[in-house]
Amino acid sequence: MRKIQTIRILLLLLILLGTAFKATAALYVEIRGGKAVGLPIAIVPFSVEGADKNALEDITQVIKSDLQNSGQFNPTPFASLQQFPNHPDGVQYGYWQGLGVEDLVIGRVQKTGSRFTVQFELLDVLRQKAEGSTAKPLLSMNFDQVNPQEFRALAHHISDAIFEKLIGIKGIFSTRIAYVSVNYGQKGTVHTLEVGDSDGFNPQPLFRSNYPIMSPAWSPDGKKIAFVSFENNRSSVKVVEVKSGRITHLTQFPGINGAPTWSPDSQSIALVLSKDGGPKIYVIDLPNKRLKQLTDGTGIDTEPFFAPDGQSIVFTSSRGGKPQIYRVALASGKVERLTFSGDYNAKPSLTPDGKRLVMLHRGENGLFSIAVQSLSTGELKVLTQASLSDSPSIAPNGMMVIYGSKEDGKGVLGAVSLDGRIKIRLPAREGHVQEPAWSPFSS
Amino acid sequence: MKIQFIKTIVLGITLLGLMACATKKGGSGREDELGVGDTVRFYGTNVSPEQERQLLAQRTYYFGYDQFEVKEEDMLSLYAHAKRLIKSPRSRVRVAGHTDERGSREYNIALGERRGNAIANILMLKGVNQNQISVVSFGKEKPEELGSSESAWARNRRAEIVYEVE
Repeated sequence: MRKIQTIRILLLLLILLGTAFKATAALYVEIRGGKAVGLPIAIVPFSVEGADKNALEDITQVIKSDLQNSGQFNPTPFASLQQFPNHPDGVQYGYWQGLGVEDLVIGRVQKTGSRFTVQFELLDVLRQKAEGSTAKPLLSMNFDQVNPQEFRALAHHISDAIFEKLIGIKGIFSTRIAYVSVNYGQKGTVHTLEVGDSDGFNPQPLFRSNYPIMSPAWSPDGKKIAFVSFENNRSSVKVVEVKSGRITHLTQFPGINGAPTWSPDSQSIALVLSKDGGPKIYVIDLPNKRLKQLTDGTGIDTEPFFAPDGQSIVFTSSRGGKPQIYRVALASGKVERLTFSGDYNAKPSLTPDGKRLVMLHRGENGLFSIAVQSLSTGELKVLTQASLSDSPSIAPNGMMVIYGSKEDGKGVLGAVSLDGRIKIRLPAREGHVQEPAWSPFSS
Repeated sequence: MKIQFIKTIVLGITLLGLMACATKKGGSGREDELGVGDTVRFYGTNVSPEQERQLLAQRTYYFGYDQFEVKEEDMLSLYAHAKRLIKSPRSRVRVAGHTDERGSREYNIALGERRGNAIANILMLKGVNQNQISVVSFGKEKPEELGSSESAWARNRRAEIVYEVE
């Protein structure tokens, strides 16, 4: 049952001048140089047998939205379709070629007993036309015993398969986003830690409080989220189990308890404590709760993030005067500075290949934006133009960054591709939304 | 934290010198008892009971951008709170540090803590017992004023004193 306080996150892509595309359903693609990059794909509404299709989640619509929102595809609008094949034998490839479609998705939903069978094919239009019946579909998949409640999840899974087949990179449609929702009401402010699907559907509140909630961080297996809580006006780090909502307490030392982040092997959490005088990075061993101080000095050290190989931690530090990003090697304790451009660099994270550093960056124009730096060349590229960004979080396939931003005084989320070409805006239906954290791939 | 504390002590000693005051730290040598209707030597400055009430009524102290130094004009109010806390050893205050919305959230938590500590250090310098004070930082999470104007930002860069136990 959908909660009254559901947050529906709308996806908008901003359009650059010079494109020839018609806007569809409030989706635009911002592209460089005015040239379209979306792959022309047609998803034909799957046929439905044995059940009232209006009573079922629309699998086809979910797939179409997923592919469109990725910025990599340009799905043909349903209203433009005049043929509705549901089987490879029924496809007239000349028609689709005439529409400019390169790839075609067709499928069938059949009620079998109390559950459903779902089948689909991904077809390369030109190859099928050229090679005829000897050509095989790019993808042909069959799903048995599907519960109607699983239709959205199945659609996302199909989107992932299509994305990976055509783009060559793992899709993120089955991943989830954790975020903090804030509602300023007459009875006071309510803060909620929520998790939603990558398209904003199915929001699930995990922790609700009259005190602020910060810094959600997913465990590598995607089953838990560590976060910062301020119950009774004291900071603490807690861990919530996503499926059950069960809360465990990790630290509540005097002073700051903040910025938790998991090691890739799940055995420890790095966090920030100021109990010994000033905020420093500590690592806590999860099995035995043993605490080890990792950084020292008189500056502010905060916002740790483990490198994917688990050998080092990048973090924000004011040891050089202003906030910049440093790396500490876990074995030797040796610290090196990573950022030299701009007077404020913070909230570091690394792409899954460990090669690029994403951060909150303030450059010469004084605006806080999201930037990415190549660790091998040192070259920095600013990805966003919004002036009050924070909290960047990298998608597990390394292609997109989701972040927090302010628009007309309201907290909204944004997403941008790491090459800067694709830009997405995600406002919440109600209230403010902030601090997004992208889940890992589901195990 | 150490360097910060030493800086605050130097500042405090300078101010004391300017006020030609002889305040003793610790449990003995308290300030003159306040008689009803009297004007009192209040840390070297003449302060009437009404003025002292006003000084105690101030609970919020504002800071410059990226700064955590307590403003000179806020000192007397803090001294009033210190006097009250010293007089009433069971009293407890919570000092909450805040920042404006610019910058990363956890870095702002650290900056807010510096503001809270700056206030706490003044109180302790005046002889308040450490266990009467707790400091919490909310960074940019609890703005006093929503919005992205300079004035909203200025109102959010603050530390607040709350009496948990009067």
